[in-house]
Amino acid sequence: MKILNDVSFEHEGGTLVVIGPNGSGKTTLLRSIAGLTRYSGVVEIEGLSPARYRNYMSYVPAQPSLDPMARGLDIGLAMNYRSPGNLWRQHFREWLATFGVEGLTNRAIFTMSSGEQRLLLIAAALSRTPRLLLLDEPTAFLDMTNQAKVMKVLAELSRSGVTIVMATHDLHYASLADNVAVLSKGRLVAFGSPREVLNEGLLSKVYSVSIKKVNDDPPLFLPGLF
Amino acid sequence: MKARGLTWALLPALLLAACLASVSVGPYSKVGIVQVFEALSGRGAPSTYLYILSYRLMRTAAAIVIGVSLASAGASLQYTLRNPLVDPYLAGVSSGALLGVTLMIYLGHTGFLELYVAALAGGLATLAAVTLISLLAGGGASTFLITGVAASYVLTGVTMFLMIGLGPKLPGALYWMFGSVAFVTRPLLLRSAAVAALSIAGIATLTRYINTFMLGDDVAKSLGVSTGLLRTTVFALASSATSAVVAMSGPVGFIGLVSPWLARRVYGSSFSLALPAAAMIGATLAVASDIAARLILYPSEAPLTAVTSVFGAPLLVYILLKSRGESPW
Amino acid sequence: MPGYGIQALPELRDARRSVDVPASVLAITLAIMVVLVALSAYSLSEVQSINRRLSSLSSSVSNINNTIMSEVSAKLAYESEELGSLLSGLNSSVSYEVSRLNSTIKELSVSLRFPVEIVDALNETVFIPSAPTRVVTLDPAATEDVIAVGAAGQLVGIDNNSLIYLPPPFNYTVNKLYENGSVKNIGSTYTSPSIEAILSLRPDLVIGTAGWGYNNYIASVLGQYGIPVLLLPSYNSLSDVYESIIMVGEATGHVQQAVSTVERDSELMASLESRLSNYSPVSVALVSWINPTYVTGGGTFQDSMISLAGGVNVFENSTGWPVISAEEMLNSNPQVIIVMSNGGLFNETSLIQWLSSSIGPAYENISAIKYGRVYVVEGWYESLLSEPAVLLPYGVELLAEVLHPQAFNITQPPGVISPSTLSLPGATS
Repeated sequence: MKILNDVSFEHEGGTLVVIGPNGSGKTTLLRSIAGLTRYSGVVEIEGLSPARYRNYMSYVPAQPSLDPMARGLDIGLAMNYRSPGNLWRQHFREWLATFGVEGLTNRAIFTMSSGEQRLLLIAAALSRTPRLLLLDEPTAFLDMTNQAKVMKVLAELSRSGVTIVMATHDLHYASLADNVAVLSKGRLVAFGSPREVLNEGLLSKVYSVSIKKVNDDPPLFLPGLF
Repeated sequence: MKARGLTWALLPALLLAACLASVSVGPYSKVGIVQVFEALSGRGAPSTYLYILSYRLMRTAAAIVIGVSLASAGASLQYTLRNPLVDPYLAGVSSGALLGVTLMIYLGHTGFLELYVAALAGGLATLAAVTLISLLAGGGASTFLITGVAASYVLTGVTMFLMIGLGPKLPGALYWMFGSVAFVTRPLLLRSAAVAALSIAGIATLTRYINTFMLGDDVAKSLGVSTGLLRTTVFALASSATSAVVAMSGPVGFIGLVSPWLARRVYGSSFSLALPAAAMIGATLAVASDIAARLILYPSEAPLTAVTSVFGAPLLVYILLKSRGESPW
Repeated sequence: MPGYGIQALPELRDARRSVDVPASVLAITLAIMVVLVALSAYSLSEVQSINRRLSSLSSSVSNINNTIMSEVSAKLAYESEELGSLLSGLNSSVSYEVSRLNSTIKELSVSLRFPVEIVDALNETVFIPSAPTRVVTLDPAATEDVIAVGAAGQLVGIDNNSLIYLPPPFNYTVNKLYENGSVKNIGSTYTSPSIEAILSLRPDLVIGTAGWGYNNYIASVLGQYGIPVLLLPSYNSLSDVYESIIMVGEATGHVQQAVSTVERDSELMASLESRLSNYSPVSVALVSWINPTYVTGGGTFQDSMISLAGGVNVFENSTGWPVISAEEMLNSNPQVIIVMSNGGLFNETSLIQWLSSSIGPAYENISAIKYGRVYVVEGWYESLLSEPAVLLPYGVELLAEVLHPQAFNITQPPGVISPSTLSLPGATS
């Protein structure tokens, strides 16, 4: 079953935000880049195929199925199964501290809220110090404080040279990206800087609902329910 | 954390105590703990005692091999498939071994070594068949489970047909249903121990990769772990260790199921910690069960599986009750 | 920014590898396992090396024995010639001394017969270095053999079933020995044998029937300790019975008595054969359980007993002990039906009830029912027909009396066949 059709783009550095309605293929696109699904065509990251780029990228899925009895620290351990030594441990704790959730190392997954689990997973993914970060709906389950924290961290990472590819429903993050990809029914209907791509007409067509631009700088789009 | 540290010291002590008890207990009551120390101190003992001690030592060694193998196999399967109901026999190896043995007896070969080979061959053949069918059907975790269960039923059914025609040779075949360490001879023990040790060592080298199963298939795959291949490998290694044990002393139930549970209560979901703990717990349980088997129907012997089930089930219920309110798995 | 430092591209490698505590614990556990296995294997080697030394000693002894044998027999031949000429005129005390000398010679000749090597039922060569004084039997058939060849005095251990299920006269012997403590019960080898109990008796010979219960496993474990285990062929035919008796006689040093037992049995069989030669075979069904109804089929020892007794098994085309339906019984129409009462559980009424509930009044057409030739076997005659072992010839005799009463001058065999209702002229009391 082909989910994506004729998707082709090039993205260099910085943040790429992928938006589109449910079922448009956002998750599949991310999974293809992570090398988790079969695809016809070419996926190249810094000249390497996903399989060979594994050590330099981290993938955080939208709905991870973590072992409920696992402790936070075990998750970090498992993520870093390949690294010898304990350096990752220090990074892991520091990332958790940045998110303000150091206590998660000793708690079991089943005692954490979905938001806390998400933060844990992101911290673990970052403890691998990847060059490419693939995030599927990272802000789901997070309250505004945590969303802000995560976004701040992502922004900083992006400035330090880490490439971030993010699939999201939140249109206002799209405005802050370096590149935006808009998917609809498995096709790439637009790719480019937010300024080029985001406009009311395109968005309304893609989302089948009337979208209004309610602010100019930063550009903010909302479904026209009111 | 405190519980963990304490357990590392406690477990080996328990195991050694169990071994000592095992060598000191038996129907021939003249050989007790005093005689064990006499023999160890080199002061020499009447040769009858030496025979009895040697026999009990063989039993203890066999029990430890059984405990370590089944517990390790069970732990690796439970952590890989993330399912608490899984035990080392899920590939149907015990039914395959029983069928091989029954077939041999039916055809008139009753020598112990021949039956050992038949049991081993039956178990491994079943493992191969189940693995192949599961891979053809997709290779997901539940596929293995279902295929194994189906294989178990089919093989047991065929075995029952054969058993009707056995007549007075029936108890010989029943040995492979009940499990016992009473008849272990050195060549069999060495062979089985070798196969089991190799399989467990293999699993141990995969510990880091098995740890990634707790992240979920997606994340694990993104880290470069071929989850399907790993699952199949663990399945094969665990089941071959189980086969070796079943061939030597018949199917001993429950140890493979309950040792990982106990280990998990203390060590959580980290497989690298749980595996050695489960192995030691399994060894201790096996030795203790053998001691109980010798004492309960004194001076006769109870079948080993009966003892492990009768004592293991309440233990499991106790664990469930104690962890009420915490997550199931 | 943890981990990223000044440049975002991590090339950090920490060569230091922390020691993995759990891995070392697993290593310790596996090491304990290996040590224990090695220890038990080593202890076994010790035992086996002792045994090897013992058996090399025995072969030296046997060489010496052979030398003594030839010298002694030469000397004896000379002495007995001399004595023979003196005997006729001398008083009884001298002949008493002579007969004492003779029995000593007999004992000596028994022990000089050893060591023996016997090939048992599993084609294993069993090496018995000297006349065994501590014999353990694993099942009733083996116990019977030992008693039949006169080696009961050498028994030190018997299994539980021998204590319970032996027919007369064996049970008297066994009970006497058990009560005065010379024989111990080692438990049942059919359900839960105890190796330790056997080992603790320090036997120098263990005898059992091959394939019976756990005997084969017991043999292989005891073999490790150098204890000779003789496995007898399962009693499927007369030749098996004779072979077992001779084997046990050889193993225990009672060859002559074994041979005479076998001779007596074959004479009985020969006389039976001639008695029955003028009678045509009678069709028989031998029922061992009712509902589900098991009968004796072909290829079993009971089947051969039936043939030897001048009968034809109507179910000989099915092997083993098949389950049959009432219709099959009607179809096969046996002239005689023999039912094992199983300790009083079944009788003629139970047979008829089972038949009529399936096929109604049609059962009356079965020849055995019509002519009143249904017999129920009770008492120890049941084990005579189901586990005859040494007494197999007498089981044949019993069947012959039932199938061809005229040959034994019996007008009508009783409906209930038990030791009190039918006697066996050939059996010992």
